[in-house]
Amino acid sequence: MSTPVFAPRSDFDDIPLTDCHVHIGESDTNEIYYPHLALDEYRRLMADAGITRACIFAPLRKDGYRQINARLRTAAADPRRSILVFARLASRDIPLTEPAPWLVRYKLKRRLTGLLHEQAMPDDLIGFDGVKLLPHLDGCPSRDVLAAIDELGLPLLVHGGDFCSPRWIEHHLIRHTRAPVIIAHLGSFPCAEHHLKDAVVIAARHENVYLDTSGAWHHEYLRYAVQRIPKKIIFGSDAPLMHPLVAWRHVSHAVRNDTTLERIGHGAAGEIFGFR
Amino acid sequence: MTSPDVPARPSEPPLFRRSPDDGRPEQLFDVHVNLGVTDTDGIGYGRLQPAEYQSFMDRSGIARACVFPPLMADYHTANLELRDWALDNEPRALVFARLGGADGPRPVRRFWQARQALGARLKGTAASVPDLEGFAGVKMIPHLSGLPGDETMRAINAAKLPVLIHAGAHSTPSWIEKTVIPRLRGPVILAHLGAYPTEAGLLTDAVDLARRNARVYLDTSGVWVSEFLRYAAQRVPEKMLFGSDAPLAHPDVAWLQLASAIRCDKTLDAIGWTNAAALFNLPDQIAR
Repeated sequence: MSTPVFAPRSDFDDIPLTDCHVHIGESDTNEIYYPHLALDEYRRLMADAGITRACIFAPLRKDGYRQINARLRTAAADPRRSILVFARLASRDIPLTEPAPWLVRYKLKRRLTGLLHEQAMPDDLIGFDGVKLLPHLDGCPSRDVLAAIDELGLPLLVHGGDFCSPRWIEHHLIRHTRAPVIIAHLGSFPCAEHHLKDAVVIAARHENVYLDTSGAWHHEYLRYAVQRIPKKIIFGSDAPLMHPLVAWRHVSHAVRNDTTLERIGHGAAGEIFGFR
Repeated sequence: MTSPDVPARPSEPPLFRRSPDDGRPEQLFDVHVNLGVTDTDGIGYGRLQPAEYQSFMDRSGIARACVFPPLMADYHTANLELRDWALDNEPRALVFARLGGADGPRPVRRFWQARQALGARLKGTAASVPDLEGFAGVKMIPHLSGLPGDETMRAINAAKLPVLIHAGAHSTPSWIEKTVIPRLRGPVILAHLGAYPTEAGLLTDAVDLARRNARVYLDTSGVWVSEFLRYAAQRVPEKMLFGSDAPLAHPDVAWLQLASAIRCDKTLDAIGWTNAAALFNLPDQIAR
């Protein structure tokens, strides 16, 4: 019989996990994607899923992030640092990450209505544990802000996939910071194989680059990345898109090696965020 | 510790079932399983041997499954081999013939789709009407394998077979409604809630179509956005069927995704078994 595709197991439900990709609060986009996951509900899910630490940030919003970032920071304050709050940043400059007509229209509209939109400043980083970026929808931070991120050593979590390719991230973000950069969704959102391959190469090339498992729904995509860069993979649920326990089972069914699974579950996060 | 400063949703129920392992029906019907080894070099396409899936059926309580070959250039041999395997080894497997077509119209005009269409035309695949004897249904993925011709569509109708069709960005629900459904007389299951990979606009179209057309069903395979599942379950629970899309996901994980998002046990029962059992004329409960 050939090698099994899956590694079903439940014995890894009990290890302490770090969930590096969680949207908390309300989106004002009216998109079906983002229902409102309250912090209290997520805390209960953490307990059920064995998550001891989580990186949280606001879901996609049209009206900017300054207010909701501050509210999350206040609500999540916890001396044990079980919740790490990332500042989600908006900018008036939408980068033309791909020559897509809708993106050109979106960029022009944002430029024409520029003053109505929030522009992230270095001060917006104070008191946060990291930064979340979705460049093709939220905009790309200015050079000043990128320099401040580098100076503060804040981990950067960046959406990766169609319209924000790993190659674009390497060229425009990774080269501007020495801090850890986590490319979300194995760089392949929603299911872009060529971006997955690029992301794996880029993570192997840069010591400070990691890939998170959130939204990587193809079992084989997980196996592909884990086989090649096992030390560079970090667990993320993408809640509320997925219950964190379900997201973890998806990962644990794909990884046969216990040491690798523990590293994905919490070891790599410890390295990035400096806790044990 | 409470979090008063974060916008709460006090008047609404929680989004998730806290322990998704709860609420599992006694038996499951998995309507979307790719079995066998693809001849493409794509990372995401299937390489799951039938015996491995068979072992999950016992462990995961899957009492019936619709199985078909993964994406391939030509399905003729793979269909027959899978049919013979099930006949000899697995009575719980309902084998679907996976069919394509050389002349199938392509729903979205993109370069790679034109390349696929040209390749299919040059190879002359699926030129003859396939033998549908012993198959429980038909699987189609029009944007990659083309659509069967009129003669094959007539054969599908004559055999009264349900059709499971990939639905999403490249084979949209509205295109399927206009191009495929009028040529079929039996049930049509739109895979992935019609929204593959994550197209909210197509989800709403598919739900609307399932509500308007008695023959149209939606399978949950490949739907990893929990809110998509809730959206469909609130509107057309009687039209939803559980599908794992194995080997893209382990069936246990696919079920947990559904069970975590849908908190009503009765709805879960319907999606996990009852709706599919009615569609395939099985009793409410069957002995395993």
